[in-house]
Amino acid sequence: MTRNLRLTLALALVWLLVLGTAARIPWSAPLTPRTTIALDGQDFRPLVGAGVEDGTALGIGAIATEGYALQTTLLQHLRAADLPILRYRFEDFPRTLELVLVFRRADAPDDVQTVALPWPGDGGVAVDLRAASEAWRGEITELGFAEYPTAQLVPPSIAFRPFRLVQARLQSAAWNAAPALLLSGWFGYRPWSQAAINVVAQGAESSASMPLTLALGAALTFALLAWLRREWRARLTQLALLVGITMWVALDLRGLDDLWAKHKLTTSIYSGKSWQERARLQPDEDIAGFAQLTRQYVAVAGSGQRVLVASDSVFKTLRLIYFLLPLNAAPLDTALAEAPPSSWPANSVVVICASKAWLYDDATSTLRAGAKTLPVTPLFIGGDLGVYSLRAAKP
Amino acid sequence: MTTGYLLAWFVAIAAGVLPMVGLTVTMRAGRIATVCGYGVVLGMLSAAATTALTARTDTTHAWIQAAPWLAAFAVGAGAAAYWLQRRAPRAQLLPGDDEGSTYWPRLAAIVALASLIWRGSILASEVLLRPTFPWDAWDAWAVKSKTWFLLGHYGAFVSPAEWLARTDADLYSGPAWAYPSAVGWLQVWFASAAGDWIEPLVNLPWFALWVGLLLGHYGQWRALGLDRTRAMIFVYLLGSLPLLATHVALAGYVDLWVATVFGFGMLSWLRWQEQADRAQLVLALVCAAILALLKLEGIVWCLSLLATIGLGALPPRWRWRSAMIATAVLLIAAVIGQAHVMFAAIGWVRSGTRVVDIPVIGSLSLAWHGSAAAGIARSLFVQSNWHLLWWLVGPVVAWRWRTLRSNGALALCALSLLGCLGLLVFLFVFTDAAEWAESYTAVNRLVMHITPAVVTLLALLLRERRVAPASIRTDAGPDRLSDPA
Repeated sequence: MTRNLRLTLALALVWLLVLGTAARIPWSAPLTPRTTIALDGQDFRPLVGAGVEDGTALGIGAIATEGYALQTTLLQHLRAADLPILRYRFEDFPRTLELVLVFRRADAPDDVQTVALPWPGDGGVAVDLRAASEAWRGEITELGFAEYPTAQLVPPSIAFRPFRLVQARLQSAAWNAAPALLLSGWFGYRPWSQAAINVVAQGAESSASMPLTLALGAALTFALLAWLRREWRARLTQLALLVGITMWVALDLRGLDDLWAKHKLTTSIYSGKSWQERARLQPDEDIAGFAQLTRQYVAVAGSGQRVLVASDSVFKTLRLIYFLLPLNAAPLDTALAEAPPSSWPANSVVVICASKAWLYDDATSTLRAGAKTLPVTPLFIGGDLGVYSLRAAKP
Repeated sequence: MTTGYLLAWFVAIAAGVLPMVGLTVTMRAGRIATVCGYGVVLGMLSAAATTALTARTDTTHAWIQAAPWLAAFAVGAGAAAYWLQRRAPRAQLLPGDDEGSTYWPRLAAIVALASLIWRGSILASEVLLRPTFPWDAWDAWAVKSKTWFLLGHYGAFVSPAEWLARTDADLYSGPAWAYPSAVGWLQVWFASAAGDWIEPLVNLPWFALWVGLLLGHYGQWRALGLDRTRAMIFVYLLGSLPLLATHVALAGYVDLWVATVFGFGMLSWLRWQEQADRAQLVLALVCAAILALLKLEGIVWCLSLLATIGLGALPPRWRWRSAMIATAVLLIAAVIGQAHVMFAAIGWVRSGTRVVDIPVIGSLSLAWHGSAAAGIARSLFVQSNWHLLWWLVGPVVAWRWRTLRSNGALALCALSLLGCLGLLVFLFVFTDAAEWAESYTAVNRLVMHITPAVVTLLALLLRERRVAPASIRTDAGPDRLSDPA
């Protein structure tokens, strides 16, 4: 009995040490926070988008035409170093939105600082702001939340649904926040991103590594079991396998939970729709629209006409080319690097999409970007899209 | 899904399964899984090859054009394989084959299988719902296939300079104009069967690939002496690797194809080494050839696999000497500077004092990049890409060092994988490809190429000790198997 108790206590101590280190709570911190500032939803005012008080909460009913919503509250004499832990709670927060903390500091009142936050879900979420952002320092004068359609993943037209901001709480470091910090850090939902194909991102970006933590915990557990239970030393292999498999399963359960959460977003956007409807629900539906418009001004596929596409964003350039297929399209910058425009096929078309670099000069009928000049005839100019026919340069 | 689409799947799978049935007549354990796993993957790639060869003028109806040829190939190849293999000696039943497991391991294996089925259902649903999402999937890999299918016929992709200089209507260009087209032709096959460019249906092969990867590895591990429980647990380890699952969910990249084919190639080579099954040597060579057709970097893995196969074919006393002489020659050539080394598959590799020029990768400046080494370490041990896989490799190899030393095939497999990993470390730490490791854009995807083979190495190191290759092999004496390494 005493041996079992000793083993249990030793294991508890080891894991407290490992998990406590992972939670990044200072060892000198008290069990409960010394300072707490609680802000109810009604303390925030909607600066962008529409919202109304809903009891002590703030109900956000509409997003602005700019495509996001923002709620802030003014603060006085709040020292960031004293209150590093943020807890927040929303209700009915749609999976299609991403949440960002915005704040201003007294030393830089004109700068808005931002920190991407884990999706709030239905429960409370805790974040260590010191670990999440170097900007969390000095005196904080204004604090708020902004909500955006998840970038490159969710079509903005269907992203918004009403939700409630229930409460935000800032508190000093304390050990009772450790479980919530680890839970949010490791199990918090992070949507698919373009980088996901290269690096698997699970939980909050600023949280300690779960594989590293569990590997260290597993090694210490193995050493402890082998040390305290002499009869198990003859079966070290099985012991190592048992500890290793347990840790693997723990990581895999987290992985499955993450995959399921990501899939729920996909389901919420695309489930129950025909392919034609899903094809229209592109995350970059504006680019898909540009492609549709461009098709009206260029020759049909197979005609041999070259379509040269430019945008300030490489992503937008390449996406537009993909949407334009099977039109014979390629990036304008690549073409300019390869050969002078005078040598390009005569009926080439230039498409400029969402670009501040490429400007059309009506007086000279040219497209200009710095030193680069293209003689063109406009076919269509409207909003962020311009379609031009390349003109042979005068000798 | 239309009947045509389902029929296209049936024909593609049959085209892989039938030859595999013929090639595996000598197998005792794991045959069905091997036939299905390899069959699905090789069948899809056969469909791609047949489409590329027979449907260039009518890509809209590509699968109808190619299906008769593919069916004829499947029946012919299956019959030929069966005829050649029918007199080959049946593999001995391995000691661990029918070993009864105790309750808990069996329960663990059942839970592992249930977990994989659950994960598989999520992945299949994700692929079937989502339009093509990740960057290179629509920027690089699907550009040719979408163009060819929607255009109605093949059009060559050329360099931007050539594209601008010529006015041919069917000349195309793009950032990935030089990439191999094998997987693109597969997308044309399925798009034509679906009747439209329906991205979820075009991307569904990535889910089938994942299933094929797991089945193929399970079957071959069983054939190599793992009991059902161990094989199932290792399938779970492989199937639960987060980056592999991500490449299925966000279908469209070719890295998972490379990883699967390299893994299959290594497995078949191991079976040839340990069981002298010539059909497996054929499969290993086929896998090596396919690697070169999937992705530019695949050529490097193709050469690695061919080098492993070549070394494995040599008598032991020549094997290590040849490896050391070849390595020494390459190192001296690189160190002397301005050396030109000809590789049949990739052309001239030129190394200078500060630069190495590899045709499939480009010109790379040589310099030490410490931060890239940290990036690699973070990718393998800290990030969530591999669970604890890379934490396990060192301890398992150390623990089973004697097994590794006493088994020539496993030792060569380990050395080959070490060489592959060494190549990656060299690429990232000593060249300006370091930024791919520092930004984590390519490091994990390239490591993924060898990951199934690494799991195979761990599985074989942890198989029952009494499953000794020397007792399995039928046509080689112990001299050939024991290795002085």
